[in-house]
Amino acid sequence: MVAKLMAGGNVFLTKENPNIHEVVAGFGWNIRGGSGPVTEVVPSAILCDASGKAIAPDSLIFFNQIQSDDGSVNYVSNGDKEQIEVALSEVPESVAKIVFVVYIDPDVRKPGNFSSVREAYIRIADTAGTELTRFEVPNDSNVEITAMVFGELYRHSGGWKFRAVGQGYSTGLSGVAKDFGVLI
Amino acid sequence: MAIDRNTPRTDIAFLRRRPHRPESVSKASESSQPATGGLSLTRPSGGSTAPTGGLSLGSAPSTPVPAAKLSFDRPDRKPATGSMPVSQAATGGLSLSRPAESSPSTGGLSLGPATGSTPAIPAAGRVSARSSLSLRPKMDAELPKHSVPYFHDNTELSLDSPVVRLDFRQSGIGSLVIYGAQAFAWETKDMQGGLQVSLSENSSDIDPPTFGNRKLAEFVGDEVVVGLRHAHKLRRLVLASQVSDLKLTMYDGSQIYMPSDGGNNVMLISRIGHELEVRMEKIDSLELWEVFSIKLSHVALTRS
Repeated sequence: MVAKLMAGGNVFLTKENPNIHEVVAGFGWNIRGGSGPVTEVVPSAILCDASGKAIAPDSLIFFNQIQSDDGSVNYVSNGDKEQIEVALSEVPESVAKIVFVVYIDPDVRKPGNFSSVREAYIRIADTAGTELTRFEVPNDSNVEITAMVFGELYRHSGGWKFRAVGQGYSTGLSGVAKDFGVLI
Repeated sequence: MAIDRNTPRTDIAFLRRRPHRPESVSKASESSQPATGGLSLTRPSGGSTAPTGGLSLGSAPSTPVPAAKLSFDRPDRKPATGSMPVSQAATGGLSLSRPAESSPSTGGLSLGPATGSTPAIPAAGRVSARSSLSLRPKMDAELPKHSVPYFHDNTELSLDSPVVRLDFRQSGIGSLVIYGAQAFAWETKDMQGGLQVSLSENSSDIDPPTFGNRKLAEFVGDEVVVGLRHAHKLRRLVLASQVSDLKLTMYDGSQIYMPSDGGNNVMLISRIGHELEVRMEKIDSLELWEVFSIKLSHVALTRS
């Protein structure tokens, strides 16, 4: 049974699936647009410590940096629009949560915003492809939103939970980077 | 959906590498060493066999010339077969001549196909992400060493410090905006190439490929914009100007400045793995596209 989450909802992944050691965060979306520049949607992951800050200024995993320094988080593209794989059992203890941020690429040529992004989602699946939980981002106007935290994996009672977030940023990736202490 | 763990990831080695940014720019003796796939700009001996017809920004005097002196000659529609005229070859400086359609790059400089930007990773390093994860190889020992300093603050390129490398974030987020360029030659990883000139209105320039309805690189007003979301398709970009120095601005607003010396210096942006390298190259009386052995994909020679 797939747990569909609302923003703020969470699910105890490792309690309900005690044998799970790796999960895949799958991202999907559709772009509404005309003949002009297309909004480029970029999923990413930030490895954070217990204070909620990035464990290092460069701990941003995205298409141009596809593996975390410790190797536990990998950017893969074998399904959905994009995927980020997390080897839960290999995540260093210093990492308290992994935040999944989707941003609009800030190209200076009409970068766009989330108003043209529709049917966006993040889903968590096991390595066999079985979907464990899903958060479908509401199709709000989101005209001013240029980055959004879709969800986060976080440690809880010796296991891992996933929380749907849906927090938008009008300041784009730079705002996210400032909040989490990532250097961009 | 199941994950394909058997697909080889040849880029893991570069992406695992986390070089520490140097506190200061390396000295010239280090910086001047070409990086992987670097270029040699030795002037070919004797006359070039390059085609001579085409767009010309004229010869470069020792001091910058006003824009009004730029010439945009109508190119010869016939493929050129002779050598570069003495008057052109001897003038020195930058020439952005458009080659004839059927003419290959025949200058003395031959860099061959695009293999230089691929890191020399031993076969053992070409394993899947997961297997490399479990094996945890000492990738540092297998990677080619380079002494190119990483960009960390506003920088001016010079003969003493001609090159700087952008990290994976600077190379992948947003756009690069280069102010001052009059023309640029581009080349993609699949060896397509072309030339763009800023003053072209009825343009017959060869457009770079488009992604998401944005050109990989293009003139936007007086600036050249390079989109980084798909910059992995880019192999090289050469920007030039006879009248202005070049200023490259990154997503965070930091800048790289480069004196053009009246067109004798050009800015070469090369993709090295998942990073971009910005290099000042001194050229000498060779056609821009030919200096860097960029083969033009096709040439539409009509120009009004």
